Amino acid sequence: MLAEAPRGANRMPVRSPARFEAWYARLLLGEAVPAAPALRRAIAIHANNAMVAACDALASNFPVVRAMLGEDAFAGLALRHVMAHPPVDPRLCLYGSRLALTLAQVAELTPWPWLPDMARLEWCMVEALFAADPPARLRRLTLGRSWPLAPATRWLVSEWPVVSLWQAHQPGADWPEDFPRRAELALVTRPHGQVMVTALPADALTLLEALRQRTPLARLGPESLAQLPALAATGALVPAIGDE
Amino acid sequence: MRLGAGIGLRLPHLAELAAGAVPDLPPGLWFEVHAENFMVAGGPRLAALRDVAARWPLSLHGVGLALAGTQRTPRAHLQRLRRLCDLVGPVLVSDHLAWQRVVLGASHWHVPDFLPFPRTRTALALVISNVTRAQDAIGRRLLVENPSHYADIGGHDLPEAEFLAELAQATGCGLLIDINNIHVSAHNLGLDAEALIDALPAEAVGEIHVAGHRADSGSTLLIDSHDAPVSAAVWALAARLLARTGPRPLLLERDAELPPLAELLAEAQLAARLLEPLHAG
Repeated sequence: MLAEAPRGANRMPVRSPARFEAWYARLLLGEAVPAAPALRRAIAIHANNAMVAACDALASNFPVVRAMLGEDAFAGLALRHVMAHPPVDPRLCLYGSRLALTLAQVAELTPWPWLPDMARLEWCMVEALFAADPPARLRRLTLGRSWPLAPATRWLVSEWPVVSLWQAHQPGADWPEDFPRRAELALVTRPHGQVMVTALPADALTLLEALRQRTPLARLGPESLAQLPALAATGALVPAIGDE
Repeated sequence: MRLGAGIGLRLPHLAELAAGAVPDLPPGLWFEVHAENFMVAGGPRLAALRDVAARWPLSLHGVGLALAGTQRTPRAHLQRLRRLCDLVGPVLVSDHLAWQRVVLGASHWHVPDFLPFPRTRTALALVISNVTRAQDAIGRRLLVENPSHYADIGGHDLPEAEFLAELAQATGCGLLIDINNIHVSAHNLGLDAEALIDALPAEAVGEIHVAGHRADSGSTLLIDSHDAPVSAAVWALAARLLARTGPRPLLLERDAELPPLAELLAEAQLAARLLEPLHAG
């Protein structure tokens, strides 16, 4: 229901663009209502256009959260998120970094406590999709230097089986009889231009953190060194050749 | 390079095009994309666009410069547009005559729509400054698109055509005339669409858009929805403008209810047929 127009809402400041924008913004945000029905409808069209564009961007960036919630519940979530955290960047393909925060605040969703982590995982995928390309030249590995992570590499430590849940919601995936009742370490990579999600053993986190800190290979522990080939096979590291 | 009929290339069609999965594309075809969708560091989407740009003329149509706004476009955004221009070498670069940034305390809301403003002399000076800054930043001429109007907000010093003409004169920018926006605005504001077309400065027109619209469910307004084929009235207005401008790049836009690429290409042939006699002449 529309609130009664506050006094002054209909006096449009014409001569100053800044004052006009402030006046119009109040109408757009629903803080004031113009008396003229034509202007009221015009404002509603612009507000709707803006809302639909932002909500569509969220739907595109969070397909698994959307599948988990269903269309109606996701639409409600998206609306709530846009109101709380409207886009600040014209690049809507990069909108939604804080959706996990909004999800965590919805009391009705507490029976599904893994949803915020699923949003975090899908945000990792968005970042991975648009990250810089790895250098074209192969990096020569030496023990005295680190092996850099590929620019698209992201990971998420979750107390929920986010990778298993994510995989079950992919097109054509088999629905498992049960989901593992354990934490999962999700690795997001972009080998050959395709964003991939992989579950890693929990102890691989030590290696990932060491690589993030650019630790020279010679200073990696034996367990971490043993995990390097498998990690490299996921595309998490820049292409390299060894000479030692 | 003389551009004929083009189509707005949306993401679902980009991958199949970049993969060469669309046979029998008409000669002279060109494409236009929303620039912001590709202002990213890297990845497969940007790579696909570079593939397309290597094979067809490509236009970058911005949706975020907010050229009529008092909140200046962040320098970083202009730099991203510059970088994208350098990567794909667009034949045209354009954005909209609108404001988009709503101040919210210490932050702001980038409104993903094109908001109206009173076309005062003060506003014209502001737009001239913004367009000049954008052109300087990207090192290219910008085309500025006329917006759709849903209500007459009043307070104007200048009719839209005059405002655009003075903007082009002062900045050297060109105009992107969206015929559907004129049709929709004329209907919504009770104006004569043909008179609006005839008032435009023909020599400044660098590109023309045609698109579909729909009736608003809550009023008698028309919505610039880009979700339907182009109406006969819009094609007729396009022909009327082309008769004044001579051949201009003519783009079919479709953003929602996206049909298969082949269907869009068939509709774009209507645009090509409109241009044929002009090119022949």
